[in-house]
Amino acid sequence: MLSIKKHHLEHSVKLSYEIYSCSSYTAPYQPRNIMEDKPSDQSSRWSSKSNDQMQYVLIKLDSMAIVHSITFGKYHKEHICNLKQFKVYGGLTPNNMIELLHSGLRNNSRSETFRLKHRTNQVLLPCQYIKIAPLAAYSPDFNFSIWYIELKGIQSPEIVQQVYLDYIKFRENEAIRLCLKHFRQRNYLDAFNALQSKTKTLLEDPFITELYEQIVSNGDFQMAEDTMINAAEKGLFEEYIRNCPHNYFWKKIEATDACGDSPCTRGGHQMCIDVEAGQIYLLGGWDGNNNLADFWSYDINTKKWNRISHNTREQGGPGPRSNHKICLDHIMKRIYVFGRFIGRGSRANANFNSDFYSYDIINNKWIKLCDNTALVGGPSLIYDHQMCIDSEAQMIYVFGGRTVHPDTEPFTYSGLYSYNIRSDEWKLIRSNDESNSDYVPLKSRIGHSMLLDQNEKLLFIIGGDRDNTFLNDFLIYDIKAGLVHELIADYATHEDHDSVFTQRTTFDMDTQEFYVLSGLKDKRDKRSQAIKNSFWVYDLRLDKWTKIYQSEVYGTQYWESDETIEPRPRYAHQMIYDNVHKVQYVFGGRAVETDVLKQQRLDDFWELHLVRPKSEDLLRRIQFQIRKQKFREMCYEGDTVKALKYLQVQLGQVVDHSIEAESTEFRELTSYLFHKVEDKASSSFNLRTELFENLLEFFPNTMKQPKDNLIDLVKIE
Amino acid sequence: MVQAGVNNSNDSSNSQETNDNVSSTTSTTTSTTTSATTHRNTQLQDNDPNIRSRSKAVCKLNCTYCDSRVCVRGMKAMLLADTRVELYSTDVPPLSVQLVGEDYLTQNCHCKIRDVACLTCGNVLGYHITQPCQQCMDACNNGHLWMFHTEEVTSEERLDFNGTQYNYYNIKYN
Repeated sequence: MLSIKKHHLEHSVKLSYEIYSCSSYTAPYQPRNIMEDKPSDQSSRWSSKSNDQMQYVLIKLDSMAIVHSITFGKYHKEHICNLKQFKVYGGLTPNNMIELLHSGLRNNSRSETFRLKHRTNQVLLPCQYIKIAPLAAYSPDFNFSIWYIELKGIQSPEIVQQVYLDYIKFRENEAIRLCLKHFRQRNYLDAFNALQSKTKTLLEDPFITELYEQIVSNGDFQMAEDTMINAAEKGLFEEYIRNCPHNYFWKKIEATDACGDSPCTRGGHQMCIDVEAGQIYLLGGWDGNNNLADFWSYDINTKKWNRISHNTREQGGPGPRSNHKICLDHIMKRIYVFGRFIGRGSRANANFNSDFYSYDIINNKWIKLCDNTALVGGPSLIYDHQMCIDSEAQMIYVFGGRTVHPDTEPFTYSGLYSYNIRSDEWKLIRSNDESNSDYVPLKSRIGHSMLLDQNEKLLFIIGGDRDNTFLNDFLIYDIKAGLVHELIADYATHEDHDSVFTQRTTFDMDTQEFYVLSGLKDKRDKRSQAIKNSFWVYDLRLDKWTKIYQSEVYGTQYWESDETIEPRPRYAHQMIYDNVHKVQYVFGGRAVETDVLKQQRLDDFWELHLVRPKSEDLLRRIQFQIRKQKFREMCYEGDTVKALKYLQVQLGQVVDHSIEAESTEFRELTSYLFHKVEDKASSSFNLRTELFENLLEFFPNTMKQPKDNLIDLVKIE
Repeated sequence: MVQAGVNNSNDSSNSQETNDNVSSTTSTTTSTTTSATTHRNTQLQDNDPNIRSRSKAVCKLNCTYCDSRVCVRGMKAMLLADTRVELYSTDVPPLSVQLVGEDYLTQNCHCKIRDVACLTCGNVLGYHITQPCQQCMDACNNGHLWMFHTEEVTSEERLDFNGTQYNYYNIKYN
């Protein structure tokens, strides 16, 4: 579980350590070299003698600690022996360590810091030993080198001692629970009861124990069904549902306003959504010839567009623009507008003032907040930046973007700024690339995504482009602590996750999931033949990327036809998210096309619905399983007619014949009618236990018996 | 082109140069015992004292950093474009080094070259001419495509059991 609470960081100190052992080393490159950071000395490193998967360096901390982060220092230039992939393990003894990190380094000179797993759901992990196990260097034939390792964490004895005791107690408890599970599973009830009463350890939540008694002890299947319905009502299946893959469907929105108009083709426009009011706003963009200043709203409920303004400048609002940013304050009902792009050809006599506007939705009124933010401590005129608003705190955050100035070269990038709405004050939080050894640098960029978690006060920054180099990092800026964390060194290295440039990302704060609609694979790859959309979900809590959707690679003909069931691949589009109804909206942009001249702007409007199973669906499946067991037991009892009737009526009610496997299973149940069983009691016990364990799947881990089995701990030597 | 009587590498079936029938970088003038490298069609004069003074001794080369043996068929050479630059060159793919990174162009000619790193420690020791350019092909050269910078390797002359130097062009590939 990822938690970035400030109080953990406050105690974080550099941890001293010694080298305990290593798998091998090449003569001058002893493992102790990693204790010193000497980037200019090629010999200041550990280098393995082999490049197999058995290599490691084992570090012993001077005192036990909770290790929060690991920093890898590097050589002053790229080096083929850098670790492209590695794992970090931690534990109290060298023989029993768990994986804390699996990541990779970039082959450059910049040191990299990674957060280490230091807590599970229940307990913090104290470590005495840390093991770094290289898996791949930048070329498979070379040995692995580690230049410098720094560990940070909590070392203060009073905290660590308590954590250690908790940890020991936790392990003791888990061992007892494993025994309890085993005894109950094998029907050693005397042993089970004796152990439970002696240790007073709970195997599971009392709610589950009740379910166990209903199913396994009493065979009261009706009660069990009621319990499961009750569980669904209590929302206990949410964790399960969350782990189910999403289903999706695209839907094209064909909407107009009262006059039959809808927003024209454009790219580089901006959209925002007021979920409570069911309104989507669209402002400006570039239609291929001109910047636009029209302002639209789309009513999600009535499915109608409404043109609020032909030209917002006439109402005292922003002039025509593209590649600007807007964001919506859902509490005060205001929209903020900042930045714009000026084409290279139009910079001669252009106005480079960085103007800043707000729009009062309720009173339909524009206010110019500032004529030039650069004069009041804010950013200069920028484009392709990102802007997020924290409505509760009345703070706006602006990060990145390229500065527009009369000369087109060189590129200059804008840092991270905050704007306090109440006090009307800009503040520079991190200037471009400001680097300090204590910080992970926040590299300024364009074409990235930035999302805000208002509750945790975290800014998430994903990917982007810097000096035509594609960045594939995933950074978290902790607003309160003022620190940057790197979440994943290289999120593009994830299997098949190739399309990441010009991505559009939305964030669901409730489920802590990011939705990424990828654009181009690479900016230089605009002409690529392999044009496809893909849609990914990153689950922050589970640290898991999942690809939900990917379009087939079709030719232009398909994409230009009216029969597409999905939007064609594009960039410079907009995607916004309705987190209540779980719908993504995509509008316009520029079609990705082999021939740049054919890259027309688009005016199509799409909904992407993401669907997960509902608890009603789960309940039906659950009922089917429970009733199946009841039916089997009726068959054992020998009243075949009664059993047949039950099969036809009660079981028949809960079968979904559209699921082939379930339908087949249902039909095959009839064979039980003619089935004779020798040992009814034992057979029932085993089948009931199996049913109970199947039902446990739907409950959160924290409520149920341990997943592991005692029997699996037996070593066969 | 490789000059008759100078380079016997074309006879060797395991020589990489056989197919290309030559290349570029180290170029040996006909009448001297010296070899040198070039990325430009620059020829040294036969009477250059710098060149005359050198022999075609065979060298064993070790990586300066980790002391691993990287080549047993090295030859002292100098860059024709700049005779102050000394190098070691060899005509067969050397032991325990590998190409790293991408091809790049030199300042002097159109040869494409790529860095070569020691397999043991990963440090870059020299370069390999992956695609000799026409200029270098046309120039007189000895088919040496692998170069080591003098500061990145230590060298030792190879002697036979009598303690006599081997002559580069009379020694078998081993």
